[in-house]
Formats: sequence, structure tokens, C-alpha cells
Amino acid sequence: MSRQLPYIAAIDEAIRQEMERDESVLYFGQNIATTPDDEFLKAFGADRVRVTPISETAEIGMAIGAALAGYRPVVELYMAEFMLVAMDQVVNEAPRFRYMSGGRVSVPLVLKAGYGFTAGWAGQHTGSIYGMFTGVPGLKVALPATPADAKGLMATAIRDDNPVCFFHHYLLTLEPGEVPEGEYLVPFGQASVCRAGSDVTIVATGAMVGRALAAADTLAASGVSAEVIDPRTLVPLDIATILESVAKTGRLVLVGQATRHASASAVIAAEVADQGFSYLRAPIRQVTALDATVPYSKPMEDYILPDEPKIVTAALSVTGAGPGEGA
Amino acid sequence: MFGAPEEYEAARRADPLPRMRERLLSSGVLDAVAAGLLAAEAREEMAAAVEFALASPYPPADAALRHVYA
Repeated sequence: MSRQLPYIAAIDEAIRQEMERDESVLYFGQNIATTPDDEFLKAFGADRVRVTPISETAEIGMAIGAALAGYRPVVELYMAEFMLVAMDQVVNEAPRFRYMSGGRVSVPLVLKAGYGFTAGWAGQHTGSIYGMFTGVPGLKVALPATPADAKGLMATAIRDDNPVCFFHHYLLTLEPGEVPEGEYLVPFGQASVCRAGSDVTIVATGAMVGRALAAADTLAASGVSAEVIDPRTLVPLDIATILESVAKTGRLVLVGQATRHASASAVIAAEVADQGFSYLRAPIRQVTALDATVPYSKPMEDYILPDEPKIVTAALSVTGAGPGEGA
Repeated sequence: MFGAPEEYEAARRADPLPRMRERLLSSGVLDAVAAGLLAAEAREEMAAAVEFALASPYPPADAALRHVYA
């Protein structure tokens, strides 16, 4: 059975169900369990649900310690940028323990953080900074685009024995969608083919999946059949599904809200060039944010971000028809 | 409200602007008329800034790429 739930409620449901299922799952955050009415506090008690000081270093450090001691903490960080003040914990502690202990300890930890709040929030709380965590061996990175994936990827993240950065997109927070009730797991490293097509492969993550699907509708009206793929996790990355699609379409457009330089899209482009060069009938196109901090002013914010027309233009540039032709 | 109400009250009491004003008045550096004038000037400056911002056109979109590097 499934029913409609908003994206954010689907994430909450996964955390709640995993806490019910496994007593070792803990929930920490700077703004949870601040009153006795807190739903998680009422359900699971003050030992497992804890408000933390306004210090990500302390909060994530405490969670790593708990994970080493056999617990499965979920840390609510609100905005991805707050992880930046605890980069030592996130990058140089959590993912290193297992490797450096020769596999004797593990750090099953979920860092839950929102990103991409491009709605006039200016430069420091709107970035799509997930890419910088994908280059750290030992860290996994999940980027759900739908409420169902948000639930299923969170449940999988909690059960995973590695530190996982779970990045939810702020512009999707209240988006409703069908979400299965009860236990629901979405495996890591398994891309979702959101729309089948034969002329061009469009790979997108997070809120860009919706824009890619809208672009695919517009392209269909021009006689271009686009396949839309959401990798769902960037680490592990399901390059096989992307290659299979490119083998069929011969064309690849990569869409990401992150800035272009050293991005997930650059990584995917490199893998496809490396492993699937002979499939390509046109250059790989990247539709990313421009390499600037997210500006406050709306026309400037729109200018730097990928949108449906930019995706359509890129797809048409590789499928042979120029913009406006074939419509 | 985030945190305890008494923390907010304590923060209000510790607000450096009114405290500085009191200190300057009590030490005779500033009189009440001059203090009032300063406050009025500050309010006018802020109101003018808001008016200027609201009356200004949006910046050109490609200004987004200015000032990324010096």
C-alpha cells in the first residue's frame, strides 16, 4: 500500500520506522527534543533523541563516538553548509576509522542535511555542495529526488554500516508523492530510469530531475525522445545504467544544480568518456550551475542555475535539431 | 522561540546600543537632545536605504559572475 506524503514527511517516516525497528538508532540535532512535546522524544525517549549544543564539531563528533560504540546515530544538520564547520569530523574522522583500523570498527552514521535552497537565500545557505563529499573514500552520498526515494534511501542509509551523507533538496521539501507504507528500502548504487527514451540520455539529481522531466516533455513535442535517469546515490554511482542508456541513445546531457568545476556531472562525463566513448555520437553536454556563489537577486540567481530551457537547448544541440526547429 | 525566554530577556538587557547610550549620557559625553538626533539620523539613513533598494531596478543577470575572484 502507498499513499501521498510530502518529501520531508517521508524522510521523517523512515527515521521513525528505523528507530522502532532497531533500538541502536539514535537521533541528534540542534533543534530537536527542545520541548517535551517533540514527537520523536515522546516516542523514543531522551536517551535516544537528543538536542545538541550549537556546535557541529561536538554534535557530529559525539555521533561518531556513538557509532564506534555500536549505535546508529542520525544527525539532523538542517543545512548542508553547517557540515563545513565540522569538516574534520565529516571528512577526516568518520570515513577513516574503518580503513585505518583494518576493518575492526565501523561508523554507521547518517548526516542528514538540506541543500539547494535557491529561493532568494543568497550565498551561504543555498549551495549544492554535495560534490565535495563524493571525493572522500569511505563516505556514501545519497540525493533523493522523490518522496518515495527519500524514505527508501533514508532507511537504507540508517542500515548501512558506513557514514552516509543524506542530502535532501530544500525546494522539494513539501512536494507530495506516492510513498509505500511500512518497511521500504531503496538500494544504494541503483539508478532510477524515470522516463524511457531513445534519442538522448539526460542524467539529473535532486530538484533537477523534475526539470529534466519537464524538458523531456518539451523535447517530445519536438520529436526528440529523451531518457531521464536519476542516479539517486552519487557514492556508490550506478555508471552501468547510464552506460546502458548511452549505448542506446548515443547522446548524454548531464544536469546538476552544483557548480560545474569538479562536479558530479564532470565525474559522470569522465566515466562515460572512459568506458563508453564508442557509444557517443555527439559531445557530452553539462547543464550545471555557473561557477559562482548563489547570488541573492532573483534574475542573477535564475541566470546561474540550470532550468528547463537550458536543458532543452543542450539536448537539441546534440540531437541535431536547433532550438525552435522541428516543433 | 528557540531557547529559554529568560535568555532572551537577559540578551535584551545586555543590548549594547541602549547600554552605550546610557553610559554616554551618564558620563556627560552626550546629552539627551544629541542622542535623540543621532537616533533620528540613523533611522533616516536606514529608511533612505530601504527606499533606494526598492526603487532600484534589478541588477543585470550576468552580474552574477562579477566578483567571484578579485
